[in-house]
Amino acid sequence: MKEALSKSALEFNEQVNNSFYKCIQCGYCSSFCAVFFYSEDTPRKIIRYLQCNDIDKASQSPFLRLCKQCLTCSQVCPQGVDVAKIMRRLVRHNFISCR
Amino acid sequence: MGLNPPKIGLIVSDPGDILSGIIDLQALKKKCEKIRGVEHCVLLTDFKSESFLIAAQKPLAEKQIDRLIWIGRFTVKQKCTLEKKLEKSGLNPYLNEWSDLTSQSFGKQEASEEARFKKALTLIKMAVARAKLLEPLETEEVPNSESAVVIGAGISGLHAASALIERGKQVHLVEKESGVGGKVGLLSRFFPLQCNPQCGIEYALKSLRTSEKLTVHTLSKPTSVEGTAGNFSVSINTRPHYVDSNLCNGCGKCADVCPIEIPLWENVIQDEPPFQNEMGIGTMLKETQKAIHLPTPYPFPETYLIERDKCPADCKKCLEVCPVEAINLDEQIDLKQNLDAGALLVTSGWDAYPLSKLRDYYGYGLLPNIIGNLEMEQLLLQMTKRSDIQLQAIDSGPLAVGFVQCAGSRNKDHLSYCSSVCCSATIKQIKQLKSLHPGAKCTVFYQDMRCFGFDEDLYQELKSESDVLFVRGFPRVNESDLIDGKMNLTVEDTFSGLPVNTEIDLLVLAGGMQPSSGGLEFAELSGLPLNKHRFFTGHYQCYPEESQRTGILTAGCARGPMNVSQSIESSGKAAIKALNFLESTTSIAPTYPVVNEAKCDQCKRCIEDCPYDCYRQNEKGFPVPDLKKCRQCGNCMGVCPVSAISMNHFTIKQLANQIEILENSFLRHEEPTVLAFLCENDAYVAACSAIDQGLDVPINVIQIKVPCAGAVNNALIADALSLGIDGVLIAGCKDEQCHYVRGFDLVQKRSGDLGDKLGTMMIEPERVRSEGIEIHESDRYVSLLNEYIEKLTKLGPNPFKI
Amino acid sequence: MPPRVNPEKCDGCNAQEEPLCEQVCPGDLMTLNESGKAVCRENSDCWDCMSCTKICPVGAIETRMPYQLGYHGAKLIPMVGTNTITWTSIDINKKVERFRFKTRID
Repeated sequence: MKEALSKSALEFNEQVNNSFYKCIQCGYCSSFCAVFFYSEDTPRKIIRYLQCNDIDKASQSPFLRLCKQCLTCSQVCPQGVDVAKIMRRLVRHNFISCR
Repeated sequence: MGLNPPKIGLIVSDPGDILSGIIDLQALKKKCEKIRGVEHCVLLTDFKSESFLIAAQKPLAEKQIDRLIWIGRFTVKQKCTLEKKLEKSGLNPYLNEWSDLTSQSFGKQEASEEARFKKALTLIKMAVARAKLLEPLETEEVPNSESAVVIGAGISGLHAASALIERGKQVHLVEKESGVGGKVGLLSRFFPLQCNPQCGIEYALKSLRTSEKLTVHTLSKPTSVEGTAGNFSVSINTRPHYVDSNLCNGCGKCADVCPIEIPLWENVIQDEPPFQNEMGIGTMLKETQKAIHLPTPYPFPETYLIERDKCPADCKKCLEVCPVEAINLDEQIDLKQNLDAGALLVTSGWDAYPLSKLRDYYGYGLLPNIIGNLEMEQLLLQMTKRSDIQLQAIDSGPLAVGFVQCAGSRNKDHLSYCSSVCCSATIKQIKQLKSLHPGAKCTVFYQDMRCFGFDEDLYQELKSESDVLFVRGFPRVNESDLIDGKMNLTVEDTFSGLPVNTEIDLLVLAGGMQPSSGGLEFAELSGLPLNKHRFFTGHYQCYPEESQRTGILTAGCARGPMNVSQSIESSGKAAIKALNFLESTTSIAPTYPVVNEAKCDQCKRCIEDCPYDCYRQNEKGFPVPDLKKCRQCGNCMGVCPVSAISMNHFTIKQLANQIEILENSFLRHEEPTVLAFLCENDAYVAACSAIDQGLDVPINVIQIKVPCAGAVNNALIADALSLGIDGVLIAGCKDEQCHYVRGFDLVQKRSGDLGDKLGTMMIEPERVRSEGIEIHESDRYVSLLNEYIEKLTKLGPNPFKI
Repeated sequence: MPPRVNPEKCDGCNAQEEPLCEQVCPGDLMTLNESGKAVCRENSDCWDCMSCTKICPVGAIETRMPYQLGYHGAKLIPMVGTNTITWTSIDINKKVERFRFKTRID
């Protein structure tokens, strides 16, 4: 686990209202995901990386390229976390930090 | 006061030399004798309880003393014995005033001798001021009805009824179904002993079957609740049974000839009508019953009834065959009756959460082999009863059953709470399934297995079995998965992070518990408050079975998710509490609130803000408290804008006169005095123990005990401030912990309003302060006071100070 | 000058049919408006008896001084205790005077 959050990570957390901390790792999002079979990472894992403050690992995950933004994960989440939005923002975050 | 001013006797007892260590008691005695109204003053030297009595009885007889002030520390037991014994000598117990100087602080070393002496004198003067206004009061006895109404005849209702009947009380059992047993009557097994619930119901019914004190009203619903604790009047509406229960002998000839068969599965289906899962559990359960049948779910009372809407109008076969002519097919009107009751027990239980709301998740109602856990119970029950019902694997392999936990529970869109029994229930079902189908492969999809207490043993037992697989994660069910009859589930095992594929023949959804529709209807007609999950609420820890309406008690799953044994325990507790209202009379302490009609403006604030809904308007429009409902918290007294309400023995006038004594400060002009109103449930206890622990409680504070922080009226605070007291502190229970629901909230709002007013008057609003103090927070109380006094010193003296 | 009601504090006496200020006003001027807050019907008829100010349980009503007695900014504020009433008078120079009276003997 990384200790301090970088500035860009803090910005990211603010963009998604820190909503990923509400995640209870139930795995609904992964099981209902249409593409998780094709990737080593799953939406649940990516959210876990974020909870552990490891935004680099989250944003570089190959899963993000697979995500089709079907919004099923956001719909089934029992805690009301907008998982798809987090995925979307992560792609953007990756793009900005690469630039 | 009239022509004869009260004659007051002062008795000072100081067994531990606590007071004599701080003040000169002899000099104090001399001063006390000069206070107007004090006719007798004595310093006790002998501290045996007999000598207390002699010291009190002598002036009573010789000097016609009619009020006694006891100064010093007395235990509650001592107080009670003395009050009782003095009552025999003609002194009403409410004419004793107990002023515990040792529970007030006299500061540590830095406080001057003079200030201590003055404070002691002030406190005694306050006690005298109060004693002058004491009135003799008598305990009142109010007659009660000696029967109870139990609403809901599930397992909690049955146990509560049998407990009350054992104590010789009349019980009316009101049930909306045709028979008793409730949800337990639909179950297949109890955990942890794996015994049959039918046997458990039979055990509960053992004393009820023979009792003449029990009246069961089946197919009935309450329609109105009137009256108060001790004298409720409940009207119930009973649907026609079409069979006279007094004549029917339960021979069963009618059922033999009845041509109509009704499937039984509607009882257990976990859906809202119109039911859609006919294809699911309906194909598996073959059990039917006739249109004329014994009560369900458990056949008690043992007389038949007819489901008239299901049977053809012109068929009269049962009528012809009945040997006792008990059947009347033309009975149409609902029977309405009024039941008198001293107490009401609400054991309305739970309903299964409608699983059709989870169709998007698991396809309940779309696929035939997806069923709920209550349906699974019935399936298991039928499988033990009849050998022709068997679960079959679809492709001749071993039977595979999946169990999904938390279906609808712990989900913000469905039930946000944990239903607490489903995990253990699933384990119980797996155990029974394995005894019926030894080769069955079971997979449990879970988030957390919450097997509370000893249920953990069952969980561990199952975990070690090879063909029971626990997968942490939830599967997805697709309609397209069911192509070859078997369901193919995909799930992420959240421990390994890997996808798992499972083939399942039958999927059981562990649906949660929601408050029963009957319970919600009753809440609406009786006005009982519900919590945010719409279960009945009370003080969750200290008196969970008491609702906010005195005399109405709640038990079992009406209060929240519980398993069978917890329900039975809670119903026992509720029955014990109900007994209080079922004695022939209730005695009411005379310290109830009284409305002064000359002052009352009929603004109805007391009616609105009474936490127990005690107040009703009389024919003239004045509010009148219902003494049986009243818990004597004093919130009405605090809320009254014209200070027209007073608690007996704790009147506004007594308090105002006490406060008036504080006009002349016992401290120097620049030193602030603080008046603290402390809730007797916690803040006062914290303050007393602060002094007992030897903490440095500042001398500046005068503590007054109140039954609830909400009993402090703004007029009293205004009095105190206008008399020159520098700060007023009101301390009660923190946040939502108030025993009287929202006393502290109300007082916080009121003192906030007063603070705003003070601001416009160019007085610092900080002079009024409300704080939540817990019972153990003595340290915090002291530091809070010190900080407050420091602040008040900075602000300077109250502008009204002389 | 008429009473001024602070709409944030006024709770319309919990939407009773007759709030306290309405009951107490000798000229029957106070009433509830459509949003359930107390309001003075006819400002010119108010004779500044301050009954409403004294009775209001949440302290939402303030009476402004008529200009014959004090100019803008002057205030007279009552605070009602159990058997006493306390008056605070503030003139335009912010000079404060305070008075305390016994009101009832019962």
